[in-house]
Amino acid sequence: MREEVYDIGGMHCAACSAAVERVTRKLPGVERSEVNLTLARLTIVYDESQTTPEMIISKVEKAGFSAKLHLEEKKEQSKKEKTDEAEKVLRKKRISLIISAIFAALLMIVSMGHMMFEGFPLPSIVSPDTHPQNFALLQLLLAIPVLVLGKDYFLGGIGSLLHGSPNMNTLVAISSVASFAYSLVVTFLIADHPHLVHQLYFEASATVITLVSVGKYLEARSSEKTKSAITKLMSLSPDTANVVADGVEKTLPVSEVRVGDVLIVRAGEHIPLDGEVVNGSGSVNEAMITGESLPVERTAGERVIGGSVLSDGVIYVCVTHTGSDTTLARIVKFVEDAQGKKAPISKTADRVAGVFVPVVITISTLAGLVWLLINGNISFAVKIFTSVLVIACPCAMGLATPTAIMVATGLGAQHGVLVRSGEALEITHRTTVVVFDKTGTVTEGKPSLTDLVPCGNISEDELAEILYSTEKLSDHPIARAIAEWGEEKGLGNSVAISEIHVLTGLGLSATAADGRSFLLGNPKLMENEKIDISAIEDRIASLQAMGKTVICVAVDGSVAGIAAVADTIKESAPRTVARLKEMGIRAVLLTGDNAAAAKAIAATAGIDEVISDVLPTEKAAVISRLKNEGETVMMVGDGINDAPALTEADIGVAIGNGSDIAIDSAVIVLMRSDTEDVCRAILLGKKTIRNIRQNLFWAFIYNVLAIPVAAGVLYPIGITLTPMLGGLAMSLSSLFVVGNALRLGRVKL
Amino acid sequence: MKTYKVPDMHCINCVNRIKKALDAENVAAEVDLGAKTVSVKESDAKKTLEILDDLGFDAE
Repeated sequence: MREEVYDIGGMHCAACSAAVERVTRKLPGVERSEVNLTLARLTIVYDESQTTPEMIISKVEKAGFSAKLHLEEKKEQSKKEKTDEAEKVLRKKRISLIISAIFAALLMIVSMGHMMFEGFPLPSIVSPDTHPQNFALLQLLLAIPVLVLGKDYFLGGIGSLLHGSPNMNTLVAISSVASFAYSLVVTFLIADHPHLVHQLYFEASATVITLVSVGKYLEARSSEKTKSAITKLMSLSPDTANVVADGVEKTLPVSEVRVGDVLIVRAGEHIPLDGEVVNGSGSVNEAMITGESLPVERTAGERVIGGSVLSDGVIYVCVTHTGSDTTLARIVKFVEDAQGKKAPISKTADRVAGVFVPVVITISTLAGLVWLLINGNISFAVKIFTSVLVIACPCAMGLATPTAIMVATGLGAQHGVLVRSGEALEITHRTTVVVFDKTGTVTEGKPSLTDLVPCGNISEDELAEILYSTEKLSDHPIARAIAEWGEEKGLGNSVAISEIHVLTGLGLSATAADGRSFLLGNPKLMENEKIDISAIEDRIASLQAMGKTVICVAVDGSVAGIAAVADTIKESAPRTVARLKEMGIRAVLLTGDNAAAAKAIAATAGIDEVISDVLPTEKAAVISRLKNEGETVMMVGDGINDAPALTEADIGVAIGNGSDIAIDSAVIVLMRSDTEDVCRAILLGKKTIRNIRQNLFWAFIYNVLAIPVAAGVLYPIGITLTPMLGGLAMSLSSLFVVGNALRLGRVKL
Repeated sequence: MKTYKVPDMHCINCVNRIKKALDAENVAAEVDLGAKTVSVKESDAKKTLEILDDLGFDAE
């Protein structure tokens, strides 16, 4: 069996793709054949002893389409290798975590078991009462593997302390090293002083490392799911181009095409590079580049963008940009640059540690010195010094952030709000400005009929019937919008069409069964056919000013009315903006459309600030300007053109059925197209951060309370630190942290 | 005259595809997108069915 992918040219509708599937399935030995209409690709699985690629291509060509083998397997391969690599790292982390956990658990049982339960069955050879030295050595052996596996924490933690910026790792390293070193010294002294057996802290040193590793593992697992945005972007441009030279057409790899070469692009094909149309005309779907849903008509003299799709017609393109100069390559570079600029965000726990660590070190040093001055006993002073360091280590701290984030991301997922990282939630709660892309975000992103204006002595119903019966026969997006509208209205087939022609870039001409002739299309078509539209010219101009697309209808050579098609606003948009205002957050509309169209949409949504006429490559600049003004910017968008802006923003949010590129550049993905989910995401961020702060409080409070005891404050009344007290502080902290994090799961968004 | 119903005929592109294929085989036909039918001479009936099948259309 063999699997191959073919690029199919000339497919326009579901019937076309079904036809390709049907004819290929009839070939002998074909097991599976599937066509993806939007990618214009056929994936076929067949028995190579019965069928050859030539047979497949000729079968498809006989059905009226073009077919050629798809040349992209190499790219997919390297992408797969990359994810394999990431998985390997994660697997290694998981194994070392499991090993640490087993040793730490054993250590806990050995060290604490006899304290928690009376008569705990520990073999007498390692009993703390009869063989204290063996008891200590066993713990030492159990602790060593955990510390070796956690060596990164020591290197990183001590390193950052030397740089004067202690973080969470420093705290972990200091407590772990202090308790281990102290216990090690005790182990050697035990032979002469058996009572010291209660001064062992090996389990504390191992538990800290293990719990922190659990947190790190949970973090790594969520970031592994991140996919490469850039590979996706690059795969939009085809690998080969059909170059026409001296009337001969030959297929060349895109890398060999030079500026000035003339390419031929047929309906259904991706335009390989940026260029200028020199001959022919057709509608180009630039949705993946610009996010605009309507195909634009391109004729001689106009520019086309590499990576966009020619949905009908045939064009000859003179190449103007190649390699890293193309629009697509520039967008890729923007995404890369923006990603590189994003500084790692300090974690909340690190900020706490930054204050906590120096304070604890100061307290322990001071306490040690004070006791040395009071009673001159060096070993007592050293004991106090290390005890403070050990007891101050909040083991549950490693769980405080990851558990809350895990619960929060789960809660978000239930509501269709996918969050890529904990940092995202942290910044989300500080959002001060939300920038909305217009098309597909605030609006539905697909056209629908908004106005119907009859003209002359035709009734509105009759105009509707003519529009519906004619346009339903075409597959153009505008025509589909009208057909959908007609079906909703329940329009019938009172006008029978006997003949119809597509006028590429202009509209349709049709003849009805009763002999009437219809012309439907843009004002330019009317001009070409010398039909007088002066009576409704003003109306056309005002509709166009609102960003609507106007279709003129002429019956038997005279104008009968106009219809307008436009993108309509999402029903949830005004509610969202109102809720954001309540939260004290600014809403801004950002679009490449003209000011009039943008203002009309903004007014309906209740958005006061509009930034219009922005080129795709400038969107990111607008975001960084807002950031420079001191705002925390959230950008909500769905198109590839939004990708640089999504990455540049503090928080990039991809909405609904956004393109994969937008999703890859975003840190929050809203699965539904409901804009109100933006408010839910912000609320989720606020609730999570509050929960994390509470967790950190619970993680520290017991340990902080025990510090004075460890420092010897209660020594005058005969109480010094016992391992029991440390163990109690540790388990209470963990219990409260996990309990509090789970509480987050019941929050209403 | 023999008239086949072709329910999968969806848009003008489908019509063009059918017309082109029939023309190439010198079959004179009337293709009606509204009624989704293809009409040919009785003598061309069998050939038409084959051509439509190659194009991936069901006809009855």
